[in-house]
Amino acid sequence: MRNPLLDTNFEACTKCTICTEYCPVSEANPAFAGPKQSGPDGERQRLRDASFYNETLKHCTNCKRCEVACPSDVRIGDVIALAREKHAKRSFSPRDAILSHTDFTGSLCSSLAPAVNFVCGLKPARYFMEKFLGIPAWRTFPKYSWQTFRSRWFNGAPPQDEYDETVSFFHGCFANYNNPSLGIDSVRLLNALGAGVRLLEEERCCGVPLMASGFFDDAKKNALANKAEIERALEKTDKVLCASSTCVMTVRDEYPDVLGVDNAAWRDKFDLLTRHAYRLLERGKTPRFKPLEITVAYHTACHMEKLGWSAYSIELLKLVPGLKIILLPSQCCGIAGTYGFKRENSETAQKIGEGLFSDIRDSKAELVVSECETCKMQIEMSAGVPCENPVTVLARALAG
Amino acid sequence: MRFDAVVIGGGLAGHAAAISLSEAGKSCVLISAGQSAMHFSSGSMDFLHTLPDGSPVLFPEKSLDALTAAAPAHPYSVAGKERTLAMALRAEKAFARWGLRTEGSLAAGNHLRLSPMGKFIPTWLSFEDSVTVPVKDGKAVFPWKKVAILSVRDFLDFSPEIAASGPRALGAETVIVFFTLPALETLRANPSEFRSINIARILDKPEHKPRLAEAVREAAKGVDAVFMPAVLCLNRENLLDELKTRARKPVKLISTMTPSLLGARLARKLSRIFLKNGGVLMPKDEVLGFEARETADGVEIANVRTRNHGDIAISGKDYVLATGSFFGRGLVSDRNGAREAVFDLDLAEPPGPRENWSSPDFFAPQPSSTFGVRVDASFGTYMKGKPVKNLKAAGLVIGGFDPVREGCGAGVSLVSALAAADAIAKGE
Repeated sequence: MRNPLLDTNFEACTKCTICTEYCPVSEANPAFAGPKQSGPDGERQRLRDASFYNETLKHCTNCKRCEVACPSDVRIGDVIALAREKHAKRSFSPRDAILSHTDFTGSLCSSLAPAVNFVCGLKPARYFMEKFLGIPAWRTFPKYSWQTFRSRWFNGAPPQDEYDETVSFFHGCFANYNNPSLGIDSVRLLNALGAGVRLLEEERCCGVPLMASGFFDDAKKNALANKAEIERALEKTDKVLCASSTCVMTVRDEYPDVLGVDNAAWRDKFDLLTRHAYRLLERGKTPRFKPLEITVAYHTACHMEKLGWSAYSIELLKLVPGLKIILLPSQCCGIAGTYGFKRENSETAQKIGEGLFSDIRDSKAELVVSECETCKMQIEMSAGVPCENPVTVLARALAG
Repeated sequence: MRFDAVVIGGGLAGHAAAISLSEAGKSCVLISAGQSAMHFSSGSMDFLHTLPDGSPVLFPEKSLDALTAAAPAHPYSVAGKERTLAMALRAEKAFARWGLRTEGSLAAGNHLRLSPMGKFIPTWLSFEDSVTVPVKDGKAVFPWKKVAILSVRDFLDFSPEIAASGPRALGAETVIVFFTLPALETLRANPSEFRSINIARILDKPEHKPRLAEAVREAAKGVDAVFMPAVLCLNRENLLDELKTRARKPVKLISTMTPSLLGARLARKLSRIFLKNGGVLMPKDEVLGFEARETADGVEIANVRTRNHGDIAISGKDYVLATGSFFGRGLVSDRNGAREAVFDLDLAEPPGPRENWSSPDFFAPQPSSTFGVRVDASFGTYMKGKPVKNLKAAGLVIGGFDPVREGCGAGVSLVSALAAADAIAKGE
């Protein structure tokens, strides 16, 4: 249990309000008081009297842009998340349970994938989802894959024991249930860099959608299970890599800071795939790339901004001959994981993303590149341009 | 990761250095510990308004010799008059090139900007849309007989009464008018967040322009100019031009208490220019350590290690340290002394005994304001008495001057940043 008397990080706030200036939510939805008021300012009052807690804190998307802007190192997003954990009213919402329990929803939908994808595309079904679940009918739903990445892997992955080193791969829910080709691309890229790949014995959702919907206990259970698996994997390999920026940020930062799950012993070994790929490159591994004559626009997802690691993906992309890279100004796309899938947030989500969508259209890029899976869904639906993880672009450019 | 140049610090000096280096064709990374003090600034940039003996400066160009005589350790004195003025001119040209619409020049001498406290403060460059007043024969010339100050009702970071005391002191008549919009009511639900930037997010929206224009037009009746607190034109700078056309009178902005929109707008623009030039920004990162090697004639920085990048070192052929003073955490102090935070560089002057760091009179100049690193004429630095061959300093991390008392913080930042970038580009 956290000791509130020791947790005084919010006291470093000087009330400069720079965080609110960079908050995409308070810009789009003035009903949200913004990170300063909801975070450190509100915390001072909530510590005195819990009735100062206010339900508008649920408008926070946990994008972390406030923390990136803060000159005083206040963990504003964490203060808000912890206040929600402590004070928010719990009421069961079937929609939130479906959206946030990605392992349950994912395995169910994958096993029925063609039917689920078909039904989710039908108007009456979408009407039902909007009416009874509060998921906007116009929002594009992610397609589920008939075969998960894990099942494909265990049904005939190429041999991985002929490489100089082996790394563990945390595929995440999206690669597993929705986009197995991202998992396959990850393996191909790592192989091309001289690293063999093994999966964790078992893997659960990192927990980020659970936290977003208030299921902190379930998130903590997942975190503890993943911690045990990661520790087991690190007995055999030096690194556990993941291609999703949000999973990486969550496991490295949210486990200790929000869920109270200690990862100090291995935090640095849980890494973003492109960052480790860059490391392998610096060690002299040189994958061969064939020319890819397209223009891509790089979008810095919010959690990539927090990790601060965009440069690795960009440097790798620069190795592909013929690839033209446009750097989009870093701004939130609005989806914030499951946030934009909830009817009450969907308008805010689209408003937040407007600037990014028009920047993407103006760039005339044929493809957007981003490490975040929900940015992909939002960008493809709202800007009308396909979006892929840099790992996929790099794998596509591999020669042979 | 390897770059031609590594700039540490994302304030005015860091951005100016990084943009100049990227313009000179250098691959450049900017490591920034969070958003900077530009967000608290008026958006005007001062060069020099007071000499150390307290005498006011009207023409900074003419006062540099007197400054050098009185303060030989001042960065302008160390760099020399010629280089200082050349870099100031370069900054004026760079601002025009970067699309920052400023007025003022060293050639024209200091002009005055109206502060939210109703004071006219001498300065060098101001945004075209802020309230400024020329100085003729040593006197402020207020160009309008009667001005309206149009503020947003219940906006607490700006007092029209206090601001109006400035024009009144120069003999102008003032009227105070308030306006509001239905769309501002939602914001008012959180009174503590009824702040300049939040208000601008609403006022900048095209759908509110007609009502805003109407309020300005009403306020402009019977006066020569309309002054507004800077609560608009964050993302739509031409909004003021449109209001001006509609009111057929000058419409000008006065900076507010923090967050200051004019300063924040400057920060955003500089960041975008750097990225457009292909610069790499490492936001919210901090240098935790470095490797250096001794050379025959000094020290050379080999690489730096940061919080976000861990085992992957960031290395450059050249480095610029622009981490600021105590507030920016470029300088740190404890009971035993003060030091430069990243490299422990030599200071311009030893801090001396702790009891001499501050003056008991809060409003008196504070000796600790002059703390900072020792530099040479091209803003090179020193470590344990030896020159650091590839590390320049820029901005408030430099010692030997008092930016508040002398009114020279922005000038020193720009001159040192551009001089450092120039020296790096020339391989000095």
